[in-house]
Formats: sequence, C-alpha cells, structure tokens
Amino acid sequence: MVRRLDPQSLGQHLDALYRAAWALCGSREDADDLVQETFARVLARPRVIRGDERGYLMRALRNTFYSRLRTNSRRPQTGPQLEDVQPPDPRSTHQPERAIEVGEILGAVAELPEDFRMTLVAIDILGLSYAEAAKALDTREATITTRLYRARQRIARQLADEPDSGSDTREGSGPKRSLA
Amino acid sequence: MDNNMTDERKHPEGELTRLADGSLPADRQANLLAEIQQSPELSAALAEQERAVTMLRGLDEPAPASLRARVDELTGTSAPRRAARWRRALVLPGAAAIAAAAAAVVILIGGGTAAPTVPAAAKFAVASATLPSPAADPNDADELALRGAGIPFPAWGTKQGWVKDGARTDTVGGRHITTVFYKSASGKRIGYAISSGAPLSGANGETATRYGVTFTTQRTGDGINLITWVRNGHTCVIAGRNVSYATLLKLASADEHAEAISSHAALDAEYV
Repeated sequence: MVRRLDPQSLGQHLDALYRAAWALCGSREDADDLVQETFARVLARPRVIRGDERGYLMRALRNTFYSRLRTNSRRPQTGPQLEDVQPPDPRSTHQPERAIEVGEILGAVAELPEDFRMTLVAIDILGLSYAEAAKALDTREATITTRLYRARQRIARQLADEPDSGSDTREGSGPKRSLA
Repeated sequence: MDNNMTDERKHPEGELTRLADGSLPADRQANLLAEIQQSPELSAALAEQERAVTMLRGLDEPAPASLRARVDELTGTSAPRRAARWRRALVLPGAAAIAAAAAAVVILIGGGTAAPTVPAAAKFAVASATLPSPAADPNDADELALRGAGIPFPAWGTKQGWVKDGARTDTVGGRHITTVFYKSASGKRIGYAISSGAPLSGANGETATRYGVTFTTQRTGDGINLITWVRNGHTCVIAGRNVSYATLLKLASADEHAEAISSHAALDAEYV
C-alpha cells in the first residue's frame, strides 16, 4: 500500500533504530550521529512509502551509513584523538555490567562482514520479517536466511569465547543433515 | 527431486534459522525437530542460533534522551515553547485543547515523574511494539527468554493459541515496564506488561481468585479491558481491546498455574 510517511509516527522506531545504528557503527557516539542524520534526511521532504515504515527506515539508515563512510574516506586520516576515546555511559540509572554487555554484543555485530551485519541488524535488531529485510536490502529471501544463519553463528561463537571456525563467509555452507 | 529441494536437504540452515526465532511455520517444525533429535550436529547448530537470538532480541538499550529530544524537534513532536503555546491558546483555543489532551496522553503513556497506575500500564499493553519478539527460552518451552522485573514472560503459542508478536520497554516515574505482545489466530492482540517496583495503584474492579492469587478485571475509560495481579511483589497487567474478561482471566491464571507448578517442582527438588 502506498501512503505518505507520517513524521510524527517515526519516534516510535527511535530506540530500535539507535540500536541498529550502534550495531552498524560499533560506537554509541557514531550511532547517535547516524540516527540524527538519517531522520534529518528522511524528514527533509515529504515521503511516500510502500509497505512497512521500519523497512523504509532501515533502507534510509543503510544509505546514510554508506554515505557517511564515503565522506569519511575522503577526509585526511589522522591518528586517534582525545575525542575518539569512548566516555563512560552518562545515564546514572544504567547498570554498568549491562552497559558493557550491550556494548560487547553490538560491538561484535559491528565486526561482522557487511552483508551479514546488515542482515542481522534488519532482522534481529530492527525486527523486520525475512521478506521485509530482503526488500530493504535488495536481495532474495533465501540469501537473507543463509546470511542470517552465518551471522548468528559467528556472534554466538564469538560471545561464547569459542574459536570461530567460520572464517568461511560463503553462503549455503551450513551443517549438513545427519540422516544416519 | 529438484535442485532446490536437494539444496534444502543438504543445507538446513534456513529452517534452523527460522526455528530459532519462531518464524518457521508449524507444519514444518515437527519433521525438523525429529531430525534434530537424531543429529548432534543439527542440535548444536540450533543451540547456537537460539543463543544469538536470545542475546540480540533481548537488547533493550534505549536511545539517549538528548538524541530523542533532537529527533522530536525534527519530527515536530517536541513540546512547544511556553510563549508560543500561550499565543496559540489565545488564538486557537480548540487547537490548544487538543494539544493539552495529547500532552496528557504523553504524560500518561510515556512521561511524568509519579509512579504509573494500573490503567496507565495497560496503555503500554495496547501500544505498538518497538522490539522484535523475544526468543523462546531454550530451557523451558513454556517461557520466553525475556523477563520483566525478574518474571519470565509466558510462551502461549502452543497451549493457548496466542503467538508472541513483538515487545517494548518503557520507563515511567522510575518504573521499568516491560511488555510482550501476543496475537491470536483471529487477529486479536493483547499485551502483557510487568512493572518493576512496588505494586501499582489504581486496580479497581471485579476480583477473582485462582491458585491463591487475586486477579482484578476492569475496563478503562477508553475501552481497554485489562486484568491485573501481583506476582513476586510486582504488578502484572494483561490488556487488550475487544478481548473478553474470560479470555484475560484464562491467560493470566494459566500463567500463574504454570508458575505454581514450577515453584512446587523447585520446592520438591530441594527436598530430594
């Protein structure tokens, strides 16, 4: 169904979009900037959308992320600066161990190969269906499924401190059925 | 057998992926589960998928307040400045009244510093989901791998016919309210909200006692039917529109019954 995007309804997606951005960038501060820029771009003019709002925002987030990467790659590279140091989480109600856990999980996602990361973010962090994710990422649903399988496998192994035997990023290389 | 079928037989990751997050259709689950039972390799692969789903879908990190304020500015949902508000109130009393009503809803649903009431908590139970559905608890088929105030949310899909349908978390007056949504085959939708902290006030209605627990049913001014009770010192609310009290009571008491059985089992285990 084609309809006009209602700017006032976008706030309900903010938390999920922030987590998605964190998983793409690997840092809270970059996620903050990325989300703000994404909203600014989306709201720069009236939009007509087809289907789910969150799928539309996923595409907008991805495009903005790539655009920022291209811009940053054109800037002169410098060594680490003082502002690159991640400050502690300022929210006093936050449990420190929980903040570390969130940072660890989203940091692990940020290190995944790009296709795996985008797929994982679309489905397990933004909550899109497989079909919506395939549409948002311009690929087939079967491809989404195999990427998701690999991405979850790597995350589970990495955060369980097990060696990730999967330097293998091929799609369709999951477990063979044991039919014995 | 065509090539696709051959591929699927060799590479079951698609089915495992969907089984782990609950999106595999029921008619395809039985065969796969039977195969998994026979195969340690498939079983380990499924456990990995479930572990990742539990970790990723359990994340509830909210956006920082500063970012929300900036986004609210962009979307035009931030509070108007005082002078502008007064000016509009003088010129457009109707619009101001609508704005005031909207502000009251915002306070009721998402803001304010006082502890929420039971009807306010019920608002979350009929609001939109902002998080994906939590994964099933790998150790307990009757529970989801998400807790509110330490209380596990039930998996009602198989036994009760209400399938998980997203989740959300909110903070009101220092209380964390965790909500899981469920939908029925007929398209009805309910939310199960659990509030942290002491029991909430505002439960007024008919009461019924099941398994030693007192449940209160009531209808809010805007047509939400709810049932509320206290478990482990925390308020639980199940609410929905056009959902009968009998259904709400059945679900709430089923959850308490499961909890009672589980507690007895734990108690028994201590004496073994």
